[in-house]
Amino acid sequence: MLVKLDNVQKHYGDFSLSCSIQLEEGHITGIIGANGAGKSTMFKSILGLISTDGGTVEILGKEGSKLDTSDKQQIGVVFADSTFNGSFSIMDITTIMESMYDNFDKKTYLEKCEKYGLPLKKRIHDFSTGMTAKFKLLTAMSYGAKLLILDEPTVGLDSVVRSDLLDEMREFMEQEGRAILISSHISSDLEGLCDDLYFLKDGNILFHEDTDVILSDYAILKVSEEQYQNLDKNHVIYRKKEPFGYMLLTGNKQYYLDNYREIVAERGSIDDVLLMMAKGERIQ
Amino acid sequence: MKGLFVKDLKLLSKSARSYVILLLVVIVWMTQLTDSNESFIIGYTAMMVGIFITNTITMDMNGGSLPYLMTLPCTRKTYAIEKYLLIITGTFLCSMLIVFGCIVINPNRWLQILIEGIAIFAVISFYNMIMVPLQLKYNEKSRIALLGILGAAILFAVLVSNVMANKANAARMWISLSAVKNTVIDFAEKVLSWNRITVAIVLCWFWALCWGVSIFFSIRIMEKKEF
Repeated sequence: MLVKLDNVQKHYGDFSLSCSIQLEEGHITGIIGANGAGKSTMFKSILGLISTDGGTVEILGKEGSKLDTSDKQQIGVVFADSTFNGSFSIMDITTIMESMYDNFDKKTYLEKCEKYGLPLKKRIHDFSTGMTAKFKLLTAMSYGAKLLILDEPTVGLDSVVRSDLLDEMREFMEQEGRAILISSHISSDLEGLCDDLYFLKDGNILFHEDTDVILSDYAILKVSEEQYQNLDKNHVIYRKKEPFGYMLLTGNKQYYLDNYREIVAERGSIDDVLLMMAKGERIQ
Repeated sequence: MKGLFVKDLKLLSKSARSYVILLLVVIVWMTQLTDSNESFIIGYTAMMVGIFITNTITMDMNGGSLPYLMTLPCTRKTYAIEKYLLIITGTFLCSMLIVFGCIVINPNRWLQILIEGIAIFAVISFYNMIMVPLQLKYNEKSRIALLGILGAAILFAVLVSNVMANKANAARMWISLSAVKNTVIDFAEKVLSWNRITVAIVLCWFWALCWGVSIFFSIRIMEKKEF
């Protein structure tokens, strides 16, 4: 297990984080939630950047706050709002990385920067949002880290840049023993990338499921008031009142397709699950 | 720690304009060098270099890079220690460079200039000893915190003078102050009776102890910091 949070608690005024997650080798695990759901707080607690009020944080088999420099050589991090000082250029950062990391691959790093059109001598402060995002990800992947912790790495990017970055992450995972923990509020990014997803809302994990299972077994049922009354609700997780009746989220699409041929069952996407969790009412 | 040094040296190299101004001031003063202003040039240089280096803490914090830096292969403790090593070596080397320049201009007074230079460097160090933990704790507000400390000292002095205004209080306090004064004088006389090498060693120990206390507080501040 590369990352394990067991009932981690963190309280900030009105906000409370309370969560348990696990990340195994060879896995890409996504944390999905709206802005302010607690994704960054969770990541900071994993990395020991903030203290916790309860529970245990384990990363690379150690407590998050007890990571030493050799452990940190194994971890690549991308934060949405923090990176090297903006006055540095990529050439400056290359020199810094060379002196920081034993396995920094300068040649590949500079090649990739050039491949993605990143100017090597320009201040990163003057980079566009897309360039900064590429730079941050390429830097995190430049020294053979075993674990990538990526907080909103694709925020504010157009679809072309997002696709480039997602390809880089897939390439990173080609080597055995690696893992990625990634957060985003853009569900489509995670849908095609992650093996499993945690849904975070108001600091709590509402839901954890394999992405394949969500895409194959989850569905949105659209039913009238009358159909709803006669429906077996054992496999319905969320419901939302609509003008036509109810919109329901189920985790057993096949059951309803087999037994209720008259109702409309739409393939569940991560967006649907998110929407139902945000606006709907949990019934189990 | 090597990586942090490289990072800070790179950061410092971005403020080239400030160093040119510093260099110009030093050159102008060097051309007007007299016995009385050489200590000013040494002190001014040590002070300015110290300010430039402690300013890298602000640059780390204001650029929002500190949380990210803490995910790189360094610890909170090494971050604090690296700042001290950089400040001590940076201010010492620059002070000694000016000392060397003054000696070249005035070779007959080399020993006096050297001793003066070391003494001024040591005294200026106390400013850095106070500023580093304040900067780590309060960032840009550290200068306000420093003013706060000075303000508290002045307030204390005012309160003492008010208490002294009352004759009875003044008499009581005078007795206690006299006791303190006698102890200090006794101690000073004892110190002066030692040979110069012993005095120098004691002062070095005291200086190192003050650095140790400052480093201890800075590490504590870093270890308790929430990012």
